[in-house]
Amino acid sequence: MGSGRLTGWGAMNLGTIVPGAEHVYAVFRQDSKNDPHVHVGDVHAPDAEMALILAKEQFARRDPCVNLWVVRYADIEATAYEDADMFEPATDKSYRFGGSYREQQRIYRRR
Amino acid sequence: MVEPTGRVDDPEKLAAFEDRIVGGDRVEAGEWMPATYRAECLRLIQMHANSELMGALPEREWIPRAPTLSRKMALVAKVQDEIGHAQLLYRVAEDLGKPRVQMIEDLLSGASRFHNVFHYPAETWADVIVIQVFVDGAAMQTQGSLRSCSYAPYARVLRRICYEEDFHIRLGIDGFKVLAEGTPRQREMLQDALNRWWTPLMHFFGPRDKASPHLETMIRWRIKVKSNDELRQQFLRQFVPLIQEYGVRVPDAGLKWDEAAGGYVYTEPDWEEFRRILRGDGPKTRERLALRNRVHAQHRWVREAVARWEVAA
Amino acid sequence: MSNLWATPDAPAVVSDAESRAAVRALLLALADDELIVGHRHSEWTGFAPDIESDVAMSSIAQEEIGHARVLYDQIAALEGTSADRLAFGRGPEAFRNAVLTERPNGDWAFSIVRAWLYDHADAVRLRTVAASPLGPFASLAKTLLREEKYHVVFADAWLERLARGGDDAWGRVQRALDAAWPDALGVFETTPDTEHLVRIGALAAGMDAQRSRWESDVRPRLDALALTVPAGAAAVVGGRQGRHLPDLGMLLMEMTSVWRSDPEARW
Repeated sequence: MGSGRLTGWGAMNLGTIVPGAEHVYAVFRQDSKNDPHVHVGDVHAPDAEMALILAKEQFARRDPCVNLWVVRYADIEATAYEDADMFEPATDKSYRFGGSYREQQRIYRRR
Repeated sequence: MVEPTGRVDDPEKLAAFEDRIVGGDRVEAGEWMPATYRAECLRLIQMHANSELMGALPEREWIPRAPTLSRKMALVAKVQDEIGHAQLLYRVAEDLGKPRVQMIEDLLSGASRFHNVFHYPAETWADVIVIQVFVDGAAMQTQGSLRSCSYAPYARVLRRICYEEDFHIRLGIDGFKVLAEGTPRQREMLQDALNRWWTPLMHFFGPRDKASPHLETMIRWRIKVKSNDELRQQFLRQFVPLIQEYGVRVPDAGLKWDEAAGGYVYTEPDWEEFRRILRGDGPKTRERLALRNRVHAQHRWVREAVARWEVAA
Repeated sequence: MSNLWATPDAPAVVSDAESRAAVRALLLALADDELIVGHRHSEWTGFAPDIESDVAMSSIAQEEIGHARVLYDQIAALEGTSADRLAFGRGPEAFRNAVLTERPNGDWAFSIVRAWLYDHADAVRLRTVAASPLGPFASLAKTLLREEKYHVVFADAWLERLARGGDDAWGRVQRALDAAWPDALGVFETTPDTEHLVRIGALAAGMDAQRSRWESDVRPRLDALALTVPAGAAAVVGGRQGRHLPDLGMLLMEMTSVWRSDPEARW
């Protein structure tokens, strides 16, 4: 458990993948009010304000936008793909789907 | 499999990886991947990013001289898109284990490569149009096919790149039509430009593929999706009719559609010119790298200022 | 965009020939400023200090040229010509841009300082027109302000990061400011046309008043960055009367070279 965590899964700080994660910012764009903010890409920037300024043209020059967020990769925690199996239900959870097992299958079918 | 680095991939992990890829699965940045897979993706994506950055150079020379306000804005926008593509691609390449600053240094020192077409001059306004239709059109064949590559971060940015490249080609075709239907001087300028660009375009997709274990692996791992010849034929099928429709001559008298072969036959281009470029000896290679190095050096004080600001902030 | 001179709400103030000529002069000065500064910004495309700023500066360049086109279209509508002919068909003595805009880009410090001084001036100018009784021209100015807002934000951010990026960078910014400040004062050159517009109430504030407003915007920001403006600097004027540096002549020679090869051709 080299990460020092006591939890036995592969969760990581994305700084372990992204070089210079202190100055790489994930950009989230909200197309219009009532839409969620969506991750559209990243910018290298010296600070968060500059990241917003640079993100506007790199990620909103052709797309509608009313709001932008930026987050440093050094601040992003993520699960590991090797733990993706954890998210797949092992048994019938039709109680979450109004009693319908078909609905559960439809949602969890591999894309 | 023993890797070029000497590291041996765990055979079980490698087998599981291959099964997944063959089954159509994708690879994301944080996942385990064979060392060769990582190295090949990095090399390919880095070269693509380099090409976008170097590709900006021939076209940006014509921004100050674009002949209408419309064309002026459109050309700035197009070159902006290329720089934007470089931004997206370096970002993808970085997560394979190489900082952007390192990749740019390698480009400037000549240690890493960029596509053949960007080693040539843009001598006239018509060159800008030819680049916009045919160079972007050629790139689109490769980029389009790689949207189904196994490395997901690359496939994702290629979707945006293709979307934007499509706009370039449309505007380029519009410019092509205007020149083809224009004054005698404009038609002559267009023909001359196409004559000079034809060989580089035929070189773009690389020589005819030779079967090799390496190529087989690239295809099995879906890092390469179509062969060089397939892509070249796709390109010819898309653009030869356009050239002919507007009364422009295809600069290869030996090019014709062969029904039996189901494709175009053409005069084999001189591959020695292509090899010279791979050795860093294209018509504009040294000059353009020197220019990029000069600009980079001129901005050193800015990088230092930003670094000081970063520390204080 | 339609011909704003002919709309039902075209301002009464431009009903006479002299006033129309004065508004035309105002629009031309604005258009020429935007075209020339946009051209200078576009020269950074591919060569900015970092990839992301390259993309941002290119947008700013496109927007300035786009503003020029919209303004030229209005003048062209009045005179039966085209925006392209106005942009490409005149020599330097016919241009009415301020000298600030035609200075070569120099280094990143000069370009940022020039853009900063210009964009803050442009904001004051556009707000003045937007608040005027010039009807559809006021609305047009208000529309342009939306994009100009970003230009100011970009320039503000870069100015701060350079000025606070250590002694070397601060020194370059200060030297750029020393060079550009007199030019910037010249953006507010008073002309008989601007005086006429103030007299008939078409502009609430004349160029002197606009310059004061601009100084109250920029001076505090410069103070905060420990930057000083040259004391007693004389404005570099003449641009609004067609008196330019050799730089504009060279810029236009290059800019019009393909167009001039056949002015009747379609491109």
